[in-house]
Order: sequence, then structure tokens, then C-alpha cells
Amino acid sequence: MLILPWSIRNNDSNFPTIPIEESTVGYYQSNTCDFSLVEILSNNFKNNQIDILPDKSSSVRCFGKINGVDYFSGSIKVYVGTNMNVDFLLQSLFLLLLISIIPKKESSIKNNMPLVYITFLLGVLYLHLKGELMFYESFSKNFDLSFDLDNYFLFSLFLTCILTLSIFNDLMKDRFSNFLNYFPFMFLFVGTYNTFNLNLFVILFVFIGFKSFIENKFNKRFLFLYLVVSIIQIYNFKKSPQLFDVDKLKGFVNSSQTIESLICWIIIFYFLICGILNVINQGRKFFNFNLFIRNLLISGSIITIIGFLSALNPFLNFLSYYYLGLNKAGIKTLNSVAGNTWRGIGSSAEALGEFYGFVILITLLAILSKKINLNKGTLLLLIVNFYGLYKTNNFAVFSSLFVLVTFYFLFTFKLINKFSIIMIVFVVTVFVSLFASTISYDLYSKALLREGYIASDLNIELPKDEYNNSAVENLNFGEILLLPKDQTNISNSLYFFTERYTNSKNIKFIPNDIAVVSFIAKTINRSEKWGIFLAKYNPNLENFLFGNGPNQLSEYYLGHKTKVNNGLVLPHSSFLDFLIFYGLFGLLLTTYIFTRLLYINRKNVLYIILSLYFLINFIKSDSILYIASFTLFIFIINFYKLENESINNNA
Amino acid sequence: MEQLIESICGDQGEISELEEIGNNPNFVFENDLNFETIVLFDTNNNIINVNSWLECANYVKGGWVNNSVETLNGDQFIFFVSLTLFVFYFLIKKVSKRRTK
Repeated sequence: MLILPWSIRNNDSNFPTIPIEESTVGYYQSNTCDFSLVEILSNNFKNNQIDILPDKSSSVRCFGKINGVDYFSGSIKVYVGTNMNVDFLLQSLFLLLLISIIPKKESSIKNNMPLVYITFLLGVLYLHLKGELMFYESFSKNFDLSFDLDNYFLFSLFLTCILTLSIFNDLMKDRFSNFLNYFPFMFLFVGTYNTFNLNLFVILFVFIGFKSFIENKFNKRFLFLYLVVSIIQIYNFKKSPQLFDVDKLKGFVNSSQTIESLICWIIIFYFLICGILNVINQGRKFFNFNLFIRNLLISGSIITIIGFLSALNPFLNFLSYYYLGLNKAGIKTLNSVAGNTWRGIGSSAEALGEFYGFVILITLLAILSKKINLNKGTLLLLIVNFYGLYKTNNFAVFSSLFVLVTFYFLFTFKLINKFSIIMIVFVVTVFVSLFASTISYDLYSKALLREGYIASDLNIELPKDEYNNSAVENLNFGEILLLPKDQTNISNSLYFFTERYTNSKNIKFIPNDIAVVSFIAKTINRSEKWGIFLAKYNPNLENFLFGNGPNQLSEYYLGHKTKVNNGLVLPHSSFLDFLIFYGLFGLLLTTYIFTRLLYINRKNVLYIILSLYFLINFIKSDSILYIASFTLFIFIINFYKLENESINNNA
Repeated sequence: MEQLIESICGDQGEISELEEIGNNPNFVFENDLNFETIVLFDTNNNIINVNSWLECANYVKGGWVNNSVETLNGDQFIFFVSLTLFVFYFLIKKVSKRRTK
């Protein structure tokens, strides 16, 4: 499965393989679809001049073969043929093989597979393909969704889907209750298909979710609310022929703005949550805290090691991308790049840093609470994870780790008293005051609006003063409000923020709320990204209240013209992502549920600390847009259910 | 390559004639009335009709093949691979179930 698909050569070709360099690019360009990847590997294993990339538009015949070579800005791009049907089969089987390694545990799960399950999943797959037609037609020449008897393309996809679900269903018979303990490996085996905007784990969780739905294991109130919000989202939906470049979000975001794709993601998202919750609820009796932490440590360590190996070798880089199902290929350098970060095989340095931080945090807390022993193996794995975190250079994770471990220490060993609280408040106040004295209040309080206007495409030239500075450069945003709104193309959100900042009443000694948000954004280095968010976010009232729909970024990103329309500049806050998807209503409801859970479990220090860790980091990262981080977040929200069970299981 | 050219285009010409064409972009192929038109396909299933042995040999050298070599319908192939795996998997499942009984 690892070597054979990449080693089939064209029998008609007698040409030898030669090292790939600038002078031989023409040779490979003239002989496309002749050499297999394995063949060129022997001559080019140590060739770091080349980048191996998938050619997604390849025919089945050219799968695994060199389909193109280009010399581009100092490196040689080698394109290896990949194909939708082959990818779906090969990547699914590989990951199922890995799932089969999960040890069996006794369980009473029924593994029957009625026709309704298959029909439902095939229906969702068809709806997805139809809804995101533009995405698939952009690279697949054979893409055909007609139900003709000779349309082997579609039937092949359906058959692979049935085969995958049947095997998974059988595997889960004895492993379902143990599945939860192996969640951490989702960060290593991401499961995103090379040529699909789908992820295997999403399909599997939707399958589990639908099964639990049929078995009547679902929350009726949640379903009712979800249905109401979804109907409003569908009613407010605006169809548009634009294609959102999913890039590193591949597999867990809607690429198109069609009604079919919106409905499909509404269905997927509901059953995905049902599926994850079902795995947690069914698996809690068998949840083993020691095993879970061990798996976290191993997963984090392997991610670091593969990250290094794939950076060193282009072949390993390509194969790790393909078989681990990465959203995008691993970084090709050992050095840190933009923002001094290193993402290894992760899609985002931020999300990967958060994962490392979580691994370290939960391990340290488990050691401090004597739930696990610190032996040499654990220490070694912990060091590797620390190194991974160091490479991702995630300051927010470092600082939140430090603060939360300190708090845990203070609470657990009952060092918290009036004196220590006064001391903490005093130290924080001194630090904030010292920091505030070194900065310009004007700049910090207006940084968010400034960045918003810089990213905005205002349509008109702003008047300039005698020094040739506009209102934006002078930070005098009230001047912009004097212009007629319908002529300026300012987004609703930026206009609202500017108005609130400029026209709200000044209360002595109480800072303006927009100024506070701007101050926080500037301090945590988010003023630029959140400013871009304000420039782009242009909802009408209904969309602001109920959102655009699950994983629907297209309208937000391309609906309102700004200066930032290329590349993928995300909001850089999971709360803002959630606001786009589910609006203010969804955000407030989720906040209420989460706050309530924190209050009910306020004596469970481990739960509080782990939840706070995610909340702090979600303020400034888009991790919720990645399936592994999203799953881990749901796991943490439900962690209080697992703790008591795990003590019994470990014993 | 010579064998491939012979199998697709026949043996009515000499390989050395190909060298005369070289990389000349202005070379014009003349139709050979005695040559039966052959349809050639590239890897993207583009089609071209060739009307002389030299034209045929030139395209085959560039990676084009005739229909008889490119008989494989990739999607059909994957469909039958999946079907075989499917049948094979269920047979194994059935056999192992019987054994455990």
C-alpha cells in the first residue's frame, strides 16, 4: 500500500531515469507519465533541489507517475499523478488499516449495517459533490455526477464509500469503546483526502452520529434549536458562483456558495457533533487516562519527528502529506519562517503549538495530581513535545501554560488565600501599568480601526491635510463617518465599531469598550488580523444574529470587496469564526452552555484549567477550523464526564 | 521506442527520417494517400488524426498512443478493483464468521 501504487512504470517506455536538475527538466517534460515516483527516487533521493507535489488532475493510468516537471524560482517542481478515485480508495484503506491496530475491548455495540445507513451516507456524499461542483471541476476532467450506467467515476466513488463504511463498521464492533483513548492520533493521521474537500474522520463521525440518531441517542432540544437556526440560515442564504480557496482548511470548510453545499454542511456538522459526543459517551466507561496521555505524548513526538524528516527529504514530504492525510504538505525547511514559526507537518503553527501545549499541560497536571508517574519514557516524550512547542514559537501557549500550571499549583496545594490573591492582583496591576506607561494610548486604542481601514477598499480617495495625511493616517476616524456611507464601501461591522468609538458617551476613568478591545488586540498581536476581519465582515441583521452556516467562510471572505482578497487571511479567533458560522445567537448560547458547565464543575480544578487553556487560546487562533482541534475541544468540554470513570479504569 | 512506433504506425518508414524533423516547428507533414489514417491519444485523452507514417511516428515519439494501447478506462478499472476488494472482504468475513461458530 505504501510502495506499490508509486512504482508502476509505463511498459512502453525504455527511457532511463536520470537525476532531476535544471538541465534535465526538458527530458522529463518530454516523457510525462513514463517514470514512476519510486524509479526517480533511486536517482534523486538526496536531491533537495526538488519539490514533489501532487498533480490532482491526473488520469488513473498516470497515477504515481511523473506527470510534469517545472523549474520555478530556484527549485524544481516535480508533479506526481494523483486521481480522485484512487485517492479515495487508497487513503481510506490506509487509515482503516491504522484504525484496525486499535486494541479490541469488549463492548455491546451492534454492528449491523442496514441499508438506510448506506443510503444516507451516499446521499450526503452526492450532495457534497454536487454542491461543491466548482471545486472538483477545477481539477478533475472526468468529474461527472450523472446516473448513467457507464459512469464508472461516480459508481466507483460510491462503491469505495460503501466499502470504507462496511470495514469501519466491522472494526468498530470490538474497538468502539476504545476509540476515545486513541483520539490523540487524529493530530498525526489527519485524514484529509488529497483530491477531496472531505476528511475521513468527518465521514466516520457523521456515520457514527447518524447511527446514534437512528438508535434514538440524541438530544431533542439541541436538534430543535439546530433545525430552527439552520432554516433561518437557508432562508437568508445568497447563492454566488464564487469559489473559496480552501487551502489549509481542506476537508473541513465549504468551498462553494451553493444551497446544496450549505445544506450538506448543515447535515454534516450536526451528525459530526452527534458522532463525537456518541464516541465520548459510549467510550467513557473504558476511558483510560494513562493511556490517553501516553497516546498524546507519542502522537506529539511522532509529529515532531516526521515534521523534521519531511522537511529534510522531498519524498518523505510528499508521502507524509499523502498518507497522513495532511491538509497541506509539511514545511520544507527546518528554519522558522513567517512570524518566526515552524509548523512541521501541521497545517498551522498556531494549532500545532496549541496541541503541544495541551499535551504538556495535561501531562504536567496528571503528574502533579499523581494520576501518572513520571518515568524516563514519559520524560523523554515530554521533552520532544516541549521542543515541538519551542519550534512553533507560540508565545500565547507558553504564557497560558505558565499561568495555568501556577494556578493549578496554588489551588491544589491550597496556597490561595486573601494575601496571595492581593499579591497576584498587585503584581498584574504593576505589570499592566508599567506596560501601559511605555505605549501610546492613542495608537493602542485605535489600532483595530486603523488596521480595518487600511484593509478596506473605500472606493473613494480620502481628503488629505496640509501634511498629505488622510483621516486614517491621522487616526481621526470620525472624519470618515461624515462621508455618505453608501459611497464608502465600509463594512457594516467596521462602520459600527467606528461609530461606537467616536459617538459613545465618555465616562470618566472608564475606557471606551472599542478602545479596550483594540488595546487587547494590539497587545496580543492581533490588531492587524482582527482589523482585516472588521474590514471583511459585512453581515445583514439576520446573518449577524444567526450566521452564514457551519464552516461557511465564502460569503465572509469574498462577499465584501476589500484589499485582502487573495491568500487565506483568517479571522485569527475561533470566537470570530463561530460568529461567522452561527452569529451572535450561536455565540451567546455556546458561551452560556460553556459557562454553566464551568460553574457546575467549578470544584473540578483539572476540568477548569483545561477548559480555560482552550478558551484563552481560542481567543487568538483559528483552531476550531481544523477537525482534530475541533474534536479535542468537544472532548475537553465533556472531560468532566470522563474523569471519574478514568480513575476506576486506571485502578 | 522503435517497437512501439512499429506496433502503432506500421513498418512503412525509417526511424532515421524522424531525425530530419528534429525540433523544426515549421516542418509540414505531407499526407500519404496509401497510409490509413490512425487516431492517436495523449495522456489527457486529446485526439489527433495522423495521415502519414512520419507524422504518426513523430507523435508516438512525443508520447501519443493509439486506441488499442490506451484501452484502459481508469474509472472502470478502479470500479472493478473496488468491487473485487468488496467481494473479497465479504467472503473473508463470511468464512471467519463460520469458523468462529
